[in-house]
Amino acid sequence: MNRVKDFRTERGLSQLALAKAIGVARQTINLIENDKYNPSLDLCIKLAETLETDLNTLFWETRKNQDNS
Amino acid sequence: MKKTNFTEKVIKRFYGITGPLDEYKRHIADRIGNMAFIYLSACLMLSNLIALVLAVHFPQVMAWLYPGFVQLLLMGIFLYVIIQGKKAGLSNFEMAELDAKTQKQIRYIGLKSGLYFAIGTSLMNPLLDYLIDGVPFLTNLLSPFSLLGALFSGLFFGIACHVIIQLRMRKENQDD
Repeated sequence: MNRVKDFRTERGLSQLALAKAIGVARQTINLIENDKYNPSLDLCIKLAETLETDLNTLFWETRKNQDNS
Repeated sequence: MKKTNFTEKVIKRFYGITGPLDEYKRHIADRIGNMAFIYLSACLMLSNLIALVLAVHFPQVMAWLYPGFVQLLLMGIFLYVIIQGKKAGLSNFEMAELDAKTQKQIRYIGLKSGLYFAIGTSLMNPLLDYLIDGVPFLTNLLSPFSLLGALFSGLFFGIACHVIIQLRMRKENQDD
């Protein structure tokens, strides 16, 4: 499970605002947050830049923790 | 807002996508399109083979039957695209996502569609009557029956378009 929703809510952004910021549909953000769609690397980078974090923290840290537990 | 090129405009029009054609929608459209092409190719190859064999013995029958079959096949493929697109939420959109110009266009799309349909029908029907039955084009074009028919069909089409657009607008709550 990625942390897109956590970072988005921390920054006070709605799904629509985040979607408009990176040029995708709100539906796409919803699908990414619910792990129903794997975004491309380009989209991952745009998400990380907009949410002011890095790719590891946004997408892989949670998975690493899940694998280790 | 990024400018869309011609290919993207065609894809959006074909799949009924409103709003941004982002990577998810492009991915879904590509998947549906690939499967539709595979089914269409297989059916066409088989039907061409059968038509070729039968045309030798029944040319006049095949001259009518084959175009009718291809038309049915195309309708089946379009239905597949519509159903798969609906399942994936491809044609759903939210007014808040659209720019001001598109929002304004959406409001009057029923009126515009109905008008174009009425004009198209009023020209097409007399033309087909002239080509198939030899009915004089101008007489048919200006007949009250033909004009009324085009008017009512345009009205019905415009209302149907308006209703479909309203149904496609998703009224989801923002997931915050």
